[in-house]
Order: sequence, then structure tokens, then C-alpha cells
Amino acid sequence: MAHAGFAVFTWALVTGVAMAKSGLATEQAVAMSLLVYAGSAQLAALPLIAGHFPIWTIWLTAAIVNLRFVIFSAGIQPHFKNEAFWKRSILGYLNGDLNFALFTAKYPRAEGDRLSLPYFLGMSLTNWVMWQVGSLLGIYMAGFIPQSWGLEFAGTLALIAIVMPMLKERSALFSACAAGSVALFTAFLPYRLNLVLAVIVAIIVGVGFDKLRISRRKS
Amino acid sequence: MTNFEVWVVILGLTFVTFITRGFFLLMGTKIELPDVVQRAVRYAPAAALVAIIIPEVFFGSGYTHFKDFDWYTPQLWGGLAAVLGFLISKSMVFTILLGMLVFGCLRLTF
Repeated sequence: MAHAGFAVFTWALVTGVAMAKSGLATEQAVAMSLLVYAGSAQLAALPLIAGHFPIWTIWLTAAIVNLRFVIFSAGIQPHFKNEAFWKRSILGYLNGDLNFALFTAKYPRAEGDRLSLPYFLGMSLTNWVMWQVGSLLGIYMAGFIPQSWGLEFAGTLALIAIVMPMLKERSALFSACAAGSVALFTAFLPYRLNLVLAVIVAIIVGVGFDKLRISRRKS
Repeated sequence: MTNFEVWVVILGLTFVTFITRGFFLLMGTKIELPDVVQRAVRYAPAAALVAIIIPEVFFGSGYTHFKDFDWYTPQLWGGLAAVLGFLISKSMVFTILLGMLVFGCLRLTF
């Protein structure tokens, strides 16, 4: 989580700067950070707000950018489906890219482990705090952070260090290569739909690879 | 956009986050996801991260078209250096430092 914390922090810092520079009032940028809490959707919404797009198109854009989280929610549903509605609301709201990745790595199957909920919650709240610190810092320091630092690239590099250990298994490696290729060749689709396509193709490749291995073992 | 409208947008976006992130979880026990789904979803997080990383490394920031691809993209070489750095060291700090070093040097020279 310490590693993921750095990635979240730089990512948030960049998003905070972008919000402040997009013409949002400071209190609006702060509210957006605290409430919306979805970096890619926020970044997608900013130019639309500045461009006076119809409100429903902004909501729709954010929903499409967030589609991958719908898939993630299916991943935590078996773990937490028996919790009270208000608990599920909070757990779902907090389920971002990095904490979901770390959670599935530790708990690949729902086996009723009593520690899975505190683990998820602790990690997710750390993630939330790191995000807000980075984001608020970005909002208030936007004037002092020049674009030329290329700070956002440090966040991307941190993601590289986070994702590499996830690719140890052959099936995961193949599936991630498929995801990378799809994301690259569909990079210019609107609404960051390349993310959704990449995730879907990666799942198909990964599951296909598993099936192939099982059938080989049988024969 | 008026101040009020921006607030409406922000509150709506909060709802969007709530619904998309919670989607299947909010249904609770009303839906029974088969085991296959859980095994399949294992591949989603790494895929999403790779899909965020790869276009940024290949095109740098602010890309709008395939024609923008350029071998002299500092992010491309910085990213490759970071991958190598991780394979050698398994350390995040070293990975970022090496990547930023290559990225920074190339940005000054290209």
C-alpha cells in the first residue's frame, strides 16, 4: 500500500492542479475532490464543464469513463454481499483501481475470511486520504507547479512498479499484453472506452488461457 | 455555466461514482454471481492499470491522433527504462528514479 500510496498521491496532485487550472472555483474543486473521488472521470468532466456542455452529457461521459468500476464491483460483491446496505454503499464507493487490484491479489476468492472486510476498508481509507491530500495540495499549489516538471509521469512510473508484480503468472502476463495492445490501438476512442475494451479483452484472454491449460492437463 | 449549474454537475458526478463503483455490490444478495465471474474478474485490475499506462507511455500526454506517435517521445524511453529498472531491482523507488532520469534527460535533449 505504501507503493500504491505514492501512485495515488501523484495522480491526485495532477488531478488537483488540473481542476484548479480548469476555471473551477476553489471551493468547487475541493468539493469535487472530496465527493466525486474518481480521477479519470473528473479529468474527463473538466473540459466539458469549461465548454458549457449540457449537464446530462457530462454525467453520461463520467458514467462511461467509470464503466470499468462496474466490472470491479462484481469482483467484491461475493465478499461483501451479506453486509448491510449502508456498509455496501461505502465499500462500493471506495472501490478504486488500486485498492481493488491489491484486494483481489490478497483475496482471490470469497471464502468468508473475517479479515477481508477490515483489510479492504483500511486499504481503501488510506487510499482515500492519500488521494485527498494530493488533490487538495494540487488545488492550492496549482500556481506554483509548472507543467514543465512532468510530474504526472512519475505517477505513471509508479503504476508500472505496481502492475509488474501482478504479471508473474503466464495467464496474467498474456492477458495484460492483450489489454495493453487493445488500449493502445483504441486509444483515440472517446470517453476512454479503450479502458473498458482492454479490460473485457483481458478477461476473455485470461479465461481462455485458463481453459486451455485445464484441457491440456486432462488430455 | 453558472455557479449553481456547476454544483449540480458535481453532485450528479458524485452519484455517478456511487452507482458505477457499487453497481453489483449494491444489489447485495439479490444477485448470485457464479464462480466463473469471480475467476474472470481477477484479470480486470491489472488490465485496467496496463490500459492506463500503455497509451501514456507511447504517446506522452496530450495525444489526439495516431499520427502523433513519435520515436522521440521521452515517455516511451522513460517507461522502458522503468520496466528494466523494476526487473533489475524490484524496487519502486529505483524504478521511478531511473524512469524519471531517462525521461528528464530526453526531454532536455529532444
